Amino acid sequence: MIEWDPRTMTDETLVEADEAHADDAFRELFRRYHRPLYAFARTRAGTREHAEDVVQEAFARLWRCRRSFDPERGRVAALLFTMARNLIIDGQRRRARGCSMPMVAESADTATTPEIDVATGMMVTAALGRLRAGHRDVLALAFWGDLSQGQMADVLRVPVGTVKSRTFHALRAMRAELQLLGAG
Amino acid sequence: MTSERCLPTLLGVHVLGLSAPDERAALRRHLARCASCRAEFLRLRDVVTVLAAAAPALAPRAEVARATEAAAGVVG
Repeated sequence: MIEWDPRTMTDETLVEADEAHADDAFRELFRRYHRPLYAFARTRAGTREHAEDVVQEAFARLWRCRRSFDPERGRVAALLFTMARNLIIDGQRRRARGCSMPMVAESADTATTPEIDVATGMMVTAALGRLRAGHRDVLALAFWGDLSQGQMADVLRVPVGTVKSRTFHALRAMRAELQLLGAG
Repeated sequence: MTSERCLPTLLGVHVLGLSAPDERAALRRHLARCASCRAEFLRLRDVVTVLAAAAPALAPRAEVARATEAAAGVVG
């Protein structure tokens, strides 16, 4: 009997898994993308609660509608991030009170990992919040996901060359913001 | 003065550990010969160190996995 190993399968194969393997397939897709998806949402959505809602809903929608997934229209990862983008925008519209901040540093972000320096965590969160969206995105994906340059290009819908130059400029911008915040 | 072109934009993916083996090798050779790129590499690496220290701050809570599985109809 051939062992069914989700870790060796492509995203598209997992989405098309039969009922017997559906739960394992979902868990593998979740394992692959929930961290970068959360970081992406967290740096755009403002609060932890909103980011968590976005992640849950994006995965839930992907899975509920997986039978109609069409590989011709794009890859699974890109679809997840597109749904997240739309959910964030929808959520911001509903929550809008005339003043939308791209990212709010919450002490709760660091509460789950008491061993890290809370001040560093909040400083990085503040600096990230001051970057332009394109720079925040590449850093979120690079740091909180195991995505390759090609996958990042796919998810962000830009050429690979742009991923290269954008990560460079993002790190330089991050350095400038950290200096402004007194980090170096 | 170096006869080789500096390609500082490759430094971003390099310090983030995203570069392909051939890119890494080419950049290492260049860094061995180019002081200005080396200085930039060290500055960017310091930023990565700070980001890495704070990475847990933007990590999802464990509850997100459970809640998402429930929302997706995945049986535990």
